[in-house]
Amino acid sequence: MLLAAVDYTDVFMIVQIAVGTLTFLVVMSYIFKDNAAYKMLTHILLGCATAVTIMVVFKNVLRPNWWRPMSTGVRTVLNEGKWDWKVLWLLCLVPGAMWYTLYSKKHAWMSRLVFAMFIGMGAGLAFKKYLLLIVPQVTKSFRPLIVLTATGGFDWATTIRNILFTAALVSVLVYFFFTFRAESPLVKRTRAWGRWMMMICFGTLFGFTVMTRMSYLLERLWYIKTKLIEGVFGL
Amino acid sequence: MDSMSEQNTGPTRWQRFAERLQNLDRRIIYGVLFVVTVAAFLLPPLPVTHVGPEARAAFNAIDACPPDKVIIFDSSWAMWTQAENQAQFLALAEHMFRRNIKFVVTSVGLEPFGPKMAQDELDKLAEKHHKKYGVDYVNLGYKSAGGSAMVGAPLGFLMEGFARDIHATFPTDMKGTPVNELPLMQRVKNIKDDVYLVICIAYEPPVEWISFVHAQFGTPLVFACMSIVVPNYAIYFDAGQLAGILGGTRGAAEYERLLELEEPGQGTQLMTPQSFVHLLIIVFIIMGNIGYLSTLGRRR
Repeated sequence: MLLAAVDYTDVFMIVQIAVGTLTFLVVMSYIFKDNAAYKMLTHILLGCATAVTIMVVFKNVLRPNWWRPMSTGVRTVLNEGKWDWKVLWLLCLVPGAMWYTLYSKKHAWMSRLVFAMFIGMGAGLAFKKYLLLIVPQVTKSFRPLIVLTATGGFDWATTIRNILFTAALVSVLVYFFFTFRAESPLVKRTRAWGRWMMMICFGTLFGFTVMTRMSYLLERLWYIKTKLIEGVFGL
Repeated sequence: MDSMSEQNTGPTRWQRFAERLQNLDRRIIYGVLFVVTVAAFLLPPLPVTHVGPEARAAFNAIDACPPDKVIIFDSSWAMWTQAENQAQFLALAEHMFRRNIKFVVTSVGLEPFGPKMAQDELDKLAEKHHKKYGVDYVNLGYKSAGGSAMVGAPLGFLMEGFARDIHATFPTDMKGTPVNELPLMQRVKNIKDDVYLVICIAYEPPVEWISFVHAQFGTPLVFACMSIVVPNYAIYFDAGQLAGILGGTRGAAEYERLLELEEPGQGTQLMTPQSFVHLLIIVFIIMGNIGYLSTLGRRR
């Protein structure tokens, strides 16, 4: 029955599936006990991932976006004696090289210049990012507590949803007012409601977390079922 | 008499069982989980009976793409997220190929492996739908935002630059072909004029898409993410900042239901064992609580 499915007659494909299955089993062996094979696999994975990332960054980023225009500019200037603005890409080497002065005590001040530039840029962009992200959230938080349908009827579902939303929003905001003591029973109850809302939210988050963790396992088992058992062994 | 009173205060058989329930060896739990999962895989896939508003909205948004526009299909998933992202990718690509929607695959700032993962799947799907690379879809590859701790800053710059001038950000496609030589890219220059919608598939799609693309250019966004981060994006969907969400395997299964696939897709197939595992976990939680409540009085 081996190699029953024609699609997997390719030896490379079978090796690929075997390696995929074996690595999965080695990773799962960690459940029982930490072991040398698991450790070795993590090191191999890290090495492979780093190597591939370096190659992809060079091929997809540095080469098309920097090396090619820069080398074209340099060739035009040197060979043809004409000015080409692309030669200015060479200047990128200066701030780029300044990062590496971090490793020299004497010249580390140069790396701080680039750091400062990045921090300034980051702060400016972060402000823009959160402004554009949060402002629509704030405006959409003001919702009608009684909603009517287009025909003038009462929209129960949306009304209840909006009331729950507003109650959760206000109570959680009150919960995080740390600047005054909650003496009034109203504030105490609102805070308690806010805590309940957050507990429900954390429960939801935990449910989704379980789903993702299970998905990792199920996808691998599905891989073994479809590729190895059905594909290679033809069962 | 003394021995009698000792017997009365000692744990009952039920209490001993309840205590044991709370201290179950994790290997027993894993073992039961494994058996249930394997058994569930032997069953035929259960049909998806309900489609959530997020997946339906995503489907409708993509389905409404006009013929003169394209979709940016940001494929920022990898081997470690394929458990859920792969099924989502397959469903979304199937939809676009079926509807003859042209799309541009990218990976803006997140995942170097994304375009390669996408291309492996697209090679098979394109053959099935008789679609041609460069005409019906292109794969522009990956662009890094800078691997620093301050990755958020360059990512915003990168996205804004990409939105304003796609050709400047991606001068070549994944294979190194200049984008000007690709027929589809000759009419796709920037997001505002040529792109109808952006889809981002990732473990956790960056919210920079909302700030730097949707908020500035008004381009609708669809996020396909892992289940674990779905609650993070629900607020954006609620506020209209996202046109739709595909949350994990469930989102993929719902999308497959809307596509009315002839055979159950990957999402639907994976949701059957997923449902049984969820049931099992609920049973474990109930058992643990019964154990806890039964021994509560004794501990007090």
